[in-house]
Amino acid sequence: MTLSNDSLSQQLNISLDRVNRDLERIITYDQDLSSRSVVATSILDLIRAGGKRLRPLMVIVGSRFGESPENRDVYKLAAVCEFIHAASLIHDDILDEADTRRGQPALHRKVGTRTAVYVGNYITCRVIELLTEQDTELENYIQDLTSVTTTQLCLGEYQQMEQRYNFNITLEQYWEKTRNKTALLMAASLQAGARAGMADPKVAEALYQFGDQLGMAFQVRDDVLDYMQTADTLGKPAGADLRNGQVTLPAMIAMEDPFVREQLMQLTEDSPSEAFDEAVGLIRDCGALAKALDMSHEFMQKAWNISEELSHYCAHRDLQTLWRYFEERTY
Amino acid sequence: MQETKQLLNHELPQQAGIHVTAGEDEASLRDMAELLLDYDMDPGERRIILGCYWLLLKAYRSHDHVHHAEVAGKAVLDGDFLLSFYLQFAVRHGFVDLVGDLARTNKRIQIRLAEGSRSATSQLHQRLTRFIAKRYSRRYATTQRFKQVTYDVI
Repeated sequence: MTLSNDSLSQQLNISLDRVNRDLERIITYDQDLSSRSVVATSILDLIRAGGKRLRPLMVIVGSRFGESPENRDVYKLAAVCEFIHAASLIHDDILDEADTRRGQPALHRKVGTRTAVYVGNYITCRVIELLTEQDTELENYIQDLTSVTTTQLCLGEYQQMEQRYNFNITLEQYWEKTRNKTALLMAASLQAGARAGMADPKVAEALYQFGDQLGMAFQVRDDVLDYMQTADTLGKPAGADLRNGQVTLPAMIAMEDPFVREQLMQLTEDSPSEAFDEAVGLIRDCGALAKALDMSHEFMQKAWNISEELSHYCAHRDLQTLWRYFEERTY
Repeated sequence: MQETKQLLNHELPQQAGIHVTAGEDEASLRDMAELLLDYDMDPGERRIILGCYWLLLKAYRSHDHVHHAEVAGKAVLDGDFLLSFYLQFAVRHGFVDLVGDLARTNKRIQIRLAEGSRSATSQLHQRLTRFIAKRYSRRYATTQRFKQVTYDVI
């Protein structure tokens, strides 16, 4: 049975209502923002549309490894991590020309690209404002969370743009892009929670590594799902990444077969839909998806080993609950 | 300005493919550079403050180009990257207080732009001027005072 996210937060004994309330308050308590502003209404709609809130959960779990778990700053950081993720999704949807997000029209489809860009920027700026407020000691997190992480998110996007239809992409380049786009923020969320909860720096570093491995596994799984599921399940045609010129791990593995390689190398932006259908079929049928999942398992195994190394902390059970959630979503 | 430009272009990662030039912001940048010369500070600090201002202006300029459909994706990404690189640049060079001081102004600018203003960067210039005046003392305080006395007598 797959855990829903409600049951994940329940198992972790974390109130998602509180997380969501904090997110809303950060917007509604902003004295510079009118409640009728397109910025406020857009962001509140996004928050109310739901979401997994994995990053806030990770921050809170991370804090449980310290002497001061779940303090006020921890919840603030939880919101910060969710907002960084939300801002990146708004801009990602523009870059990907996505029509929907969480079953609703993507923000730029509702309010226009220009406004959506500034709504995303507002979120980033509000996060900085929160981190530099006088009554907190969160300034140190600017470097970890907002500058390094968001810079890397952008670099991941640049790499993705640069690698479009590059069928010679190396594994090293793929891992770097994956780490920048997905794993870093998860790793930073756990680490930030640990630091805010006054955990031992070595433990905070171990949690960072755990988040990194989990994030890598998560993204590989996502890349596999893109080929495995049907258009009905995904809401987009199977192999959408390939159709957008993104050469992900399943395609890279499939190209170890010279015949598949030859077929894929012929694909360009102008190739007909049938050519992509054929390529997706080849990738599905050659065993590449199973091999990619094996690689994802390796990341999961490393993450599990880290959780075992932390078994003298009660909170390691929470880490393993997170691990199981990812495992069950993945396989 | 030339040294600041070199510093920024040296520190910007090649992957982003962004090359900093003054472009349409030449006048604002020159004005800020001249203002910085009036204050008693290390030349390195002058370059960092001007660099932060430059990165922010360039980020705003980039996001202002998103309405051109053919370059929208790159404009969004470049603007995002410059905003986050501004933070990295400021923090790396010990200017967390500048980030804190400009945070609310940057946020207000985004609100105004989202609500339809075409440009709101004059607020940024004003706020940065106040930050500089608060953190540093004027270099030619005596001369300024002398001028004031002279005017009063006249």
